[in-house]
Amino acid sequence: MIAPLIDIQHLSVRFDTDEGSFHAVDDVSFSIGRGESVGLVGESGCGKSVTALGITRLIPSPPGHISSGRILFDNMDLLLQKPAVLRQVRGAAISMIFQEPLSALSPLHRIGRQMVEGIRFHRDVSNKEAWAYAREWLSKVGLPDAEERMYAYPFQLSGGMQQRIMIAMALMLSPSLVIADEPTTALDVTTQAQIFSLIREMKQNDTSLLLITHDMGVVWEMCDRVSVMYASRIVESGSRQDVFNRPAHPYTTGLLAAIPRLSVDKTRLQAIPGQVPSPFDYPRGCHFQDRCEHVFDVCRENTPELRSVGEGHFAACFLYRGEDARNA
Amino acid sequence: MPETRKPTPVKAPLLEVRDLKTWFPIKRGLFSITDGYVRAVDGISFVLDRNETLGLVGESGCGKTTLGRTLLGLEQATAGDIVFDGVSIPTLGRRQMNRLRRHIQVVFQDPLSSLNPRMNVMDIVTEGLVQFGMVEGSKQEHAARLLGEVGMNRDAIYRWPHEFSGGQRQRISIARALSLKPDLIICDEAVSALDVSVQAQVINLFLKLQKDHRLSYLFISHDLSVVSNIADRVAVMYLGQIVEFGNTADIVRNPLHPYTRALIAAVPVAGGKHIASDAVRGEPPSPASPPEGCRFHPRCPEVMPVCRHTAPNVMEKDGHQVMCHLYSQA
Ligand SMILES: Nc1ncnc2c1ncn2[C@@H]1O[C@H](COP(=O)(O)OP(=O)(O)OP(=O)(O)O)[C@@H](O)[C@H]1O
Ligand SMILES: Nc1ncnc2c1ncn2[C@@H]1O[C@H](COP(=O)(O)OP(=O)(O)OP(=O)(O)O)[C@@H](O)[C@H]1O
Ligand SMILES: [Mg+2]
Ligand SMILES: [Mg+2]
Repeated sequence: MIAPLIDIQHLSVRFDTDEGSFHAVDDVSFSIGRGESVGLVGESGCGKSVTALGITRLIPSPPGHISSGRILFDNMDLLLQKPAVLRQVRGAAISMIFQEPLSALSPLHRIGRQMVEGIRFHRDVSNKEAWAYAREWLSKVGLPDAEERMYAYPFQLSGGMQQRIMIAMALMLSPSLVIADEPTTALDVTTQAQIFSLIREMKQNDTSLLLITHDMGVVWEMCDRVSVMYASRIVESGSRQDVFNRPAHPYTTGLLAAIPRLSVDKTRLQAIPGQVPSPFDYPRGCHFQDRCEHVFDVCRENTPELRSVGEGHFAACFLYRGEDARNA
Repeated sequence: MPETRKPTPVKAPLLEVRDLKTWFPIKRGLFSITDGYVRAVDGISFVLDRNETLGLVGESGCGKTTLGRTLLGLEQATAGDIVFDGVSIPTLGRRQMNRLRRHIQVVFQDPLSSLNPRMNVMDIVTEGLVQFGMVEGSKQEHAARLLGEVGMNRDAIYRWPHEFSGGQRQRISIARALSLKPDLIICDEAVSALDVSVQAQVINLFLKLQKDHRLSYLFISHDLSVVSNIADRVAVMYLGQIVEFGNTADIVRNPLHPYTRALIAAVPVAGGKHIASDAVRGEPPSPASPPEGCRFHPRCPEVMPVCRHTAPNVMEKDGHQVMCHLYSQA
C-alpha cells in the first residue's frame, strides 16, 4: 500500500481548565490518502474541531495540549516540528477553513490586504500580482463585485460571503491537504454546489480533504470515507456506502435517523434520546453507554476498540465482539 | 412583499413589514464620498401572525441577515415600516427599543461574536432575566434549566464562551434567546452548526415552546429540509426581494419560481444522486446594481424576452405568491 498523505496515530488532546481537566480528543487515529476525501462527523462538542486544530498545531495552549500521538504528514511528524516549519506548512501544504470565519479574519483589515499578505507569506510575488490572484479567487468562490469586495471589511459582508473568503484563502495556494471545518454552514445549496465543484476540481489534482460537517447529505456528496466521532473518540469508520447503508455503531444509526428531510408540514424530528455526558465526567467504558439500547455490562467496564466489522469498515462496539468478549 | 396580499386577520398580526428597504452606502475614495448603495433589502412586505413560523431562505448575500437586523432596530431602515404588536419600530428611540427587546429576541448567525467574551455562561443566559427583574430563585438554577433545554450540561455555567465548540456556543445563544419567553424569536442560521441529532432536539424544543407559549419565529436558514420541518409558511428571497411566498407544503410540493426550483433541486441527500454543480448558472449579480427587469433573468433557465426589461409583478393564487413572468399570461 502506498503511504497515505497524512497519518494520524493515537492523537489525544487534553484541556486543563479552572473547572477541571478532560480529554477533548482521546486516542484518535485515521489517515487520508492523496486525492482522497474523508468526512468527520459527530455530536456537537465531540472533538472534531479540536482534532483539526491538533493536526495544524493550533490548539490554544494553555489550556490545551496534545498529550500523545503522532501526525505523519509527508513523512514528517508534525508534532516534532518547530513553529517556523509549521508556519510554512500551514497555509501552503495544509490549509484550514475555520468553523467561525470571523474568528479567523482580522476585523481591522480589508479583505484584499489580508489575502495579499497570505499569498506573499508563501509566494515570492509582487503586491500587484498577489492582488490580481486574490481577486480572481474571490470570483471563483462566487462573490459578486469581487474588486469592490477586496476593499471591504469583514463586518460589511454577509455570513456566507465571509465563509467564502475563508474558502478562497484556504484553496488559493493549492495545498495538498485542505481541512474544512463546517465550510458551508452559511451557504445556500446552490452556492454550496459551486464550492464543491471547485473542491472536486482540486481533488483531481490530488488535493486531499478532511471535511468536518454535520450535514450528512454533504458527506455523501463529497467524501470517499467517513469517520464518526462521539464524545472524544472515533466510534466508526468506513467507506461512505458502508457507513450510510450498513451503520454498525448504535450512535451512527441514531445519527442517520435524525437527518431532517424535506417535509410538507411541521413534524417532530427524531433525536437520539438522552444527552451527551459532560467531558468532565465521561464514564468508564464506552462513552455512549447511557444512551445505547443494547448496552451490556462490559460496556460500563471496558473501552471498546475499533475492530473490523467488514472490509475497511470498523466499529468500536461490543455488539460485534461475540459472547466471550462481552462476558469477559 | 406584495401589496396584493389581503390578509383578513381577526386580530392584528404580531409583525407587519411594509415595503421595507435597507440600503448601505458604498463609500469610495479619500473623502468617503457615497457612490451608490448596496440594496441589501429592497422592498419587502410580509405579515407574521402569533403562533406562526415564517421560514426565510435564499442565496448567500441576498439580505436575510440585514432584514433580521432591521427588524431588531440594529440597522436603520432606509424606507418602509415595521409594525410590531401595533408599534412602529423605526420610530422608536433607544430606550423604548430596549424595552421591546423583552418581546423580540434573536439568535445571531455568528455565535462567537454575539457572546460577550468577558461574561461566563451563567451571566450570558440570565442577562435578560436580570435586566428585566425576572429572576426568581437563583441565577444558577435558571441557567442550568435553560442550558438543559438545549441539551447542555449544568457544569457549563461557570465556563467562558471561547471554551466551547461552535455548536455549543450556538446553543448558549439559543438558551439566552429563550430565557425571556419572548413573543418573537428571529433565528438566523440558529441551528446550522448543530449535528442532526442535537438539531432535531432543538427544533423539537422550538415547536414545543410555540405550542406552550404561542411564540412566533422568523426562521432564517439555508437548509430547506430544516425549514420545511418548522415553518408554516416560507418566503424565498433573491437579491433583496421576496420572489416566492406560500405555505410550506405549496413551496415544497409545487415550487413555482425557477430559483426556488433550483434551490430544491440542489439539496444534497444522503444516499441520493450527486447534485449538478450548475443548478443556478452564471455569476451572482451585484446588489449595488441589480439586473434590469427580473433580477433573476441573467441566470434563469426559463428566461423570456420580457424578463430582460420588465420587472414582474406579484401573482397570487390561493395564498401562494410568485414574482415571475412565467405566470403572468395565465
Ligand atoms: N479553548 C478551549 N478551552 C476549553 N475547552 C475547550 C476549548 N475548545 C474546545 N473545548 C472543549 O472541547 C470539546 C470539543 O470541542 P470541539 O470544538 O472539538 O467540538 P466539535 O466536535 O467541533 O463540536 P461542534 O460540532 O459543536 O463544532 C468540547 O467539550 C469543548 O467544550
Ligand atoms: N454593515 C454593512 N455595510 C455594508 N454592506 C453590508 C453590511 N451588512 C451587509 N452588507 C451587504 O448587504 C448584502 C446582504 O447581506 P446579508 O448579511 O443581509 O446577507 P444574507 O442573506 O444574510 O447572506 P448569508 O446567507 O451569506 O448570511 C451583502 O451584499 C452584504 O455585503
Ligand atoms: Mg467544531
Ligand atoms: Mg446572513
